[in-house]
Amino acid sequence: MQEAETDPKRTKSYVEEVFRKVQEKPGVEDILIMNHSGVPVKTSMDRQEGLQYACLYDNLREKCQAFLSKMEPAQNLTLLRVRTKYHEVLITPDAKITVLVVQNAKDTFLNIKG
Amino acid sequence: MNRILEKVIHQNGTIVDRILSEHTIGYVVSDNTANAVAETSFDNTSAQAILKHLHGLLVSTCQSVVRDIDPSNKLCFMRLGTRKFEYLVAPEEYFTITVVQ
Repeated sequence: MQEAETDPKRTKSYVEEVFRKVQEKPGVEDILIMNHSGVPVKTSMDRQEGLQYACLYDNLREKCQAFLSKMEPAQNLTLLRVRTKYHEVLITPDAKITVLVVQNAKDTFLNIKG
Repeated sequence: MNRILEKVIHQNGTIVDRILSEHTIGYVVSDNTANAVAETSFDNTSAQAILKHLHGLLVSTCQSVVRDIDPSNKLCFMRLGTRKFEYLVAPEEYFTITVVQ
């Protein structure tokens, strides 16, 4: 998904393909795909929850990208992983879409099941 | 506080050595209360940048995001991946640890 940085094509079939492939992975709870404006285009969450995740985590992604562009040398965010008590959220920003995945954490940091 | 931290690092010397042995560019340990660098392998400018932006701004933003979605949830770990580096941030109660690899 990080290929062809120059104006990559992100058609609806591409989004469906990404959604289907991520869904096949074990341990995935929710998937959310946004366009570059932060609007969810495809999600497995209910509407209200999806909007909340999209708004909050997109704001966090923007702050992370701003932070990395300030560092020397400037860098582009490719993956953001947030480990919480109950699950793990992975955000993969692309030129046009952002894929957000909520999954069961695979590490042994905490064994709490919510 | 720094004396306690030095004692902890000394006790976990093997863990610190393992963390620093492979692919690691550096690390920063900051004191949450004093908002200062407690231990670092970077120069002061880089450490201050990581402390101010990463520990100060991003960790608090991420914590508030997690709390907004589920008030009983809590941020345990955070990874920022770029093409060249990866920042691993572990916010604890008194210290925040960042490893760059």
